[in-house]
Amino acid sequence: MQKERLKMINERRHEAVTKHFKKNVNRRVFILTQAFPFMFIGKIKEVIEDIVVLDVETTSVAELEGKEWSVHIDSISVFYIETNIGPSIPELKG
Amino acid sequence: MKRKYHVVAIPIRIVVNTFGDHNPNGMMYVLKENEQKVKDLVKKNPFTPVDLVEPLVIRANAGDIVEIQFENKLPFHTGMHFYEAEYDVCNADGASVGYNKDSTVAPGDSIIYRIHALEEGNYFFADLGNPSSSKNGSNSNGLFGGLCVENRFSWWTDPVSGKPMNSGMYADVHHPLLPSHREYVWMFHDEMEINDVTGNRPINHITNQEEESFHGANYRYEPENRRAQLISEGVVCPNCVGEEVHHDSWVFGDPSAPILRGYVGDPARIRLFHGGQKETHVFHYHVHQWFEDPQDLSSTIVDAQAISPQSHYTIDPLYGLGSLQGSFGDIIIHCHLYPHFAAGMWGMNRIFDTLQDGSQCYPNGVPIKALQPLPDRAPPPKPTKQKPGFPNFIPGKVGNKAPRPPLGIVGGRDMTELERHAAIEKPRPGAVFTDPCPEETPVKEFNVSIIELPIIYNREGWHDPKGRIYVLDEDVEDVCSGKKEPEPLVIHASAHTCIKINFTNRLPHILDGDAFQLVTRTYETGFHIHFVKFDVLVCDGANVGWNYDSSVLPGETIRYSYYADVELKAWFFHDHLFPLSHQQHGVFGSGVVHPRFSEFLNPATGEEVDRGTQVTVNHPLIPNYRDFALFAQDFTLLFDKDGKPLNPPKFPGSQDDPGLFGVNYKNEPLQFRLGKECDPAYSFSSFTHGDPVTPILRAYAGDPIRIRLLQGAQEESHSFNVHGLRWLNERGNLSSRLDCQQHIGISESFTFETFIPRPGDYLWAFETEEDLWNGLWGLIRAYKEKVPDLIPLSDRPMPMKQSRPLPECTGKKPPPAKKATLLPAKGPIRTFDIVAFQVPITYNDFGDHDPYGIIFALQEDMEDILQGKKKAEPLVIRANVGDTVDVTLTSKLKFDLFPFKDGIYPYPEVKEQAFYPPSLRISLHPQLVDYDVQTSAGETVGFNGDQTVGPGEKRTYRWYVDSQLGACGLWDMADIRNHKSQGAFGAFIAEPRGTEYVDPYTLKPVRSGANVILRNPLLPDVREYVLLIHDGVRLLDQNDELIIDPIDGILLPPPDLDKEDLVDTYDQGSRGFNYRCERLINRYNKNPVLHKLFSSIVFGDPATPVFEAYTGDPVTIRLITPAERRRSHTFHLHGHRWLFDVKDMDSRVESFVGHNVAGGLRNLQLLGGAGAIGGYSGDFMYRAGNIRWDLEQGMWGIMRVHKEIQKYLPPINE
Amino acid sequence: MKQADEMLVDYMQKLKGEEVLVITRAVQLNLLGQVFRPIFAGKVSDIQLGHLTLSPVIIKMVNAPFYEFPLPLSIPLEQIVAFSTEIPSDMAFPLT
Repeated sequence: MQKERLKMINERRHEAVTKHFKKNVNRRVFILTQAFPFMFIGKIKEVIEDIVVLDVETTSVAELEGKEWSVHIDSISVFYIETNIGPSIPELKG
Repeated sequence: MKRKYHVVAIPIRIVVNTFGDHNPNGMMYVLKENEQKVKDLVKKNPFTPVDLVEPLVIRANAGDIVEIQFENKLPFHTGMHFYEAEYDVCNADGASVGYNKDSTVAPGDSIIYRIHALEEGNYFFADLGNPSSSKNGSNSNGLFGGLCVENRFSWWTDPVSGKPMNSGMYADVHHPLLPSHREYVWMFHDEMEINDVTGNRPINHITNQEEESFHGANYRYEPENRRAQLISEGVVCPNCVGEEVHHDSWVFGDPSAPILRGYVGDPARIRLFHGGQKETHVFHYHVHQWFEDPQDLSSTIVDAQAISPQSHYTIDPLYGLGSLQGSFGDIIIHCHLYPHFAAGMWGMNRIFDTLQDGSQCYPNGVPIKALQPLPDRAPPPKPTKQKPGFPNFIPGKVGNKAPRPPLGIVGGRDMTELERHAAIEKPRPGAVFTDPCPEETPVKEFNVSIIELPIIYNREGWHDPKGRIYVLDEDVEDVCSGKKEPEPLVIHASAHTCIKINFTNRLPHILDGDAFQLVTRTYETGFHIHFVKFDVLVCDGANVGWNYDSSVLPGETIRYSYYADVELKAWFFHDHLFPLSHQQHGVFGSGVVHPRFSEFLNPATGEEVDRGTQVTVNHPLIPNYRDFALFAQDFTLLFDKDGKPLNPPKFPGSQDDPGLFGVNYKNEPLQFRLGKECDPAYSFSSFTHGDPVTPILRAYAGDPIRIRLLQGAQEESHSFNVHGLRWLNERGNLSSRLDCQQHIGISESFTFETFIPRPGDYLWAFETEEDLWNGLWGLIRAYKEKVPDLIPLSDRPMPMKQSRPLPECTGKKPPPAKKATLLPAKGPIRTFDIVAFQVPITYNDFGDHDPYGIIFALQEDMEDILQGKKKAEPLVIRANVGDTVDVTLTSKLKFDLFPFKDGIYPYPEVKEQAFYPPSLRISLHPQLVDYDVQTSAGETVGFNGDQTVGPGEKRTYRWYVDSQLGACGLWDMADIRNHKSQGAFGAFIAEPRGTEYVDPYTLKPVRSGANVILRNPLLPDVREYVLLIHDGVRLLDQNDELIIDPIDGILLPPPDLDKEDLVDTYDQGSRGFNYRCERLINRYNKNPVLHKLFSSIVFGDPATPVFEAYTGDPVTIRLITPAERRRSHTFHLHGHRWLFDVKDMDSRVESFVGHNVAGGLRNLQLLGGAGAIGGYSGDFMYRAGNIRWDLEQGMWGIMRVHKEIQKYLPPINE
Repeated sequence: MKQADEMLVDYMQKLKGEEVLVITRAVQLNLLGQVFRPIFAGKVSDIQLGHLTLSPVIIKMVNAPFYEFPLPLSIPLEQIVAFSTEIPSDMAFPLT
């Protein structure tokens, strides 16, 4: 019983993050993952279940940029979504 | 917690062995409580080793503050400088650096050093009050020690008494949560002054010349010469020669050298330090393996590890003492460099299988000291009459050579009654007291012979008339008849194989004498193996301690058995009975353990094979690959075609750097590759001179490859570089950094796993000047189209049919390479206009200078440099990951500005000096970045087109920065004799994407320079300091007299200094950082106060870079060794530490970088930034760890960390 | 009775404006080649059901242990291994 409740908690938290991404469709996001290529900067296009679809501007590897990437939300270590209030995510050049 | 020690530096006579060899002027650190005791004991025992005379080892726990009251009783200022620790540099540096307060101690005075031991580890300490490398210095005489920092909450006891202890090299360390373990300190050191009982230098009893210098561990050594003398005097072992019984306790009893004692299965930790001052040693420990980085389970497993002066490593043998198979007996530990090994640099790990309570004796009647069992392990059984335990069941005869093992020798003896009791249930040949092979393991059997035959090394007829090699029995005839080229034996097997070797000794009894060597009766030989699991008593292929002598006589066959438990890299094998005499003739080989289910094919025919230096490997699951093995060799004893010995020693039998070099029994010296044009720029060109005779590793473009790098002989460091390819430094760790260079010492083994991105010829080279000059280079050739004698890999696309004939040697200049800019550029393009020109370089304010410097510079800076408005510095350029870099190189070299137009460069010299006129062509070769070797390697190699530029010519190279590489070296490849040590090198730094680079003083953007601030929108602002280590420099002093460094730089040289014989060719020349060196001798001549030589208060700042920062500023040091000689350098920065691998958070933390040699690269992010985690300020010295001969010669500088804002130095993020 | 997760959010709401040190699951993270352990110190600026946000936030890099990241960082609660409010953000400690 306790186990099940905990499982529910985990699911609800995942769901909440997913909702948060959904709420911010069309905004720019900065994401770090442990897995390669480690960093994504781009615009949130849509959220499909627990996958966020990004228009990627920048990653750590130039060849992977300017493309659409789908990122599993569970594997996002940290993120920052640009809104009108906080600082904007820098445009990386060079 | 706080831990206090009272340490005294005292003069002491150090007796290093029972033969009475001693250092009359020894110096040591000792705890105050032992000072009088040790003095009294030494007085009573003037010719016998005294246990208390050992390098001081004290202990603390991680997190402790260690407070040391240090008292100096030596007649000059001394101190204690700690590696790895954090401390206030102004009070506890143990030195007098820059504008810091002097923290050395005057004779008779004392000081308190307070240091913070942040993490577990080996904290080496040594004196910096007297930096002389001569016998009048402190370090060579023993003034060093170790602070072992244990895991938090540990405590330690004496292994004999079980009582708490305050100091000592061996301790049992306990912990409430972790297993108790044996802790052994192994402190290599070298070049100590040694006299014999008569007070004279020891004499070699065979050559009647002075013995080799001291090479030992823990203030002890056990030279072969001394032991062999007892044989020649008829005291022991009639009919023995010497080398084969050097380690035999049956003949001589136990050595004075360290014996590390434990029970089978005990967890153990060897804290390995290099307290010596000059040589890079290779620590080898039979039977055991360990992680190169004990904290990182994905790091490489090694069983031999190079260690350069003042560096240190932790060795945690996997599976505890005796390894996985639970072997027991005497396990030798030694420096694998044979001249050092013979000189006495060895000891043993003695693993008992029965309890030692002090009541037992060795076979010679010497009592066995008690050994406490570790408290958390069941004690081993007590010895009984039937089972007396090791070594007392072995049927040896004291005073005679160890007996041969039972069962092993074909037609040999069975077991004795006692042996039967000691043996396992089902003993078999090669596995009597432990069986490494699990039941049902697939067996692979090899019949190996050792033979003697002449070997021709190159087209000029250089040859070794007495080559000695391992060969499979089935190949003996073909190799002897010339049908098959001799090459080092490489056998192949898959993991989880029980390997059986039937080894036959087909050597003649006698190794004949010649200009290099005296006649030696090398009548027995063995097959000693690394890495695999085996029973050390019977299968070591050696003769160690109280073990059996597991070698065989001529005509006999012995059976060995090993288990390859997991995929291993190439395991090394060689002889352990007469290696000093004949390993350099070719007695080495390798077994490669591939992944399970591998199949090995002859790359030319596709037939299945089980040996060969080049094989193609098929695998059902992982990508197929090409496997190449390369063996470096030195002390290669060659004669030219007329029988003239090449570089013979002064007298036969001398170990003073005789002979030349080889790789897989071949070499391709550059002196024979000048051609009609007499232009060194084409020496590597196959168009001009044909392919080299050295190995050409063949593949198709795109093929995965594995390079097995080994060194088969004999004493020296080598630096392996591949141009245009790179690999993960730790093969099993994807977070590891990329590398394209590897330092190697004898017996080390490395696997480089990579692939060949494009067709073309890739240069591999042992790339120090003398190695390259004498022919240690070859090619990796990647074909674009199908060639008849190379099978394609079956899982790769079939190469296209050959559409054009392969290029051939024309004997003429190579055609120019295609334009690099025809290839598409990726990302933003950064362009650099670089000129190469000659300009005098001033190395310091004392007027030491190179009037014939050759440098690379940005075109826009050339005029200013020529006019002296800008100082000559090595060119450092930068670009970001994702950038394409177009470098256009122009040569402005002028023939008249070369010093030696006759083509002989007189000093620093190389072995086999020969005509090699200066080239007016020049090139720029980059490390690590991605490029097409056919257009942008910055060199003219194989059948690639010409990429060098002549006077007035231009060529553009196109490089792509595809990864976060950090430091990359740049250098010329057109003339390795007349350009590089003169300054033709620089650095390229690959920075994170989006980084801008600004001058630290003006904050204006810069395009070059060694000292910049990096600014990146997502990363902290970082101060970046680029340090280029280089040596082999020819300097003149202010009177234009040639400086014969290192000799001219020695402080307090003794009057009897043997200038001529002191240095090897590869020690010759001056050295420094970034075209600067602050030679201490200049300072000493001005103001002869030894302990103040680093002081800016007395002398002003050094000429070497003084890098400035504020406390806490993030700092990255890019350390690059572009040039040039084989002697490796240790780098150390006081008071700071960094990750061994900048890309891997799990990697070990260090305050040094070991064995820097040509091609070496490292990126050091200082933990906690400038001033370290503790946030200290002051002058932190960066320097070489080699007291001999780097520090005196000026390899040091300062990182200045300010606490308060300086007007001229804006804060980093202003 | 409140859902357990809401209880946590309630508890954490109290941390708003407080300094907290958060450690997440990743072995290491890689920012343009600079690697670091996922140890973040900062002021809790926002708490949501699934994540919290630190602003300003220090990434504890080995060479720059007090590096203030130019962006706030949001951390999914499920990624968090441990957090503490009793480690001041200016405290130095070993990171390796």
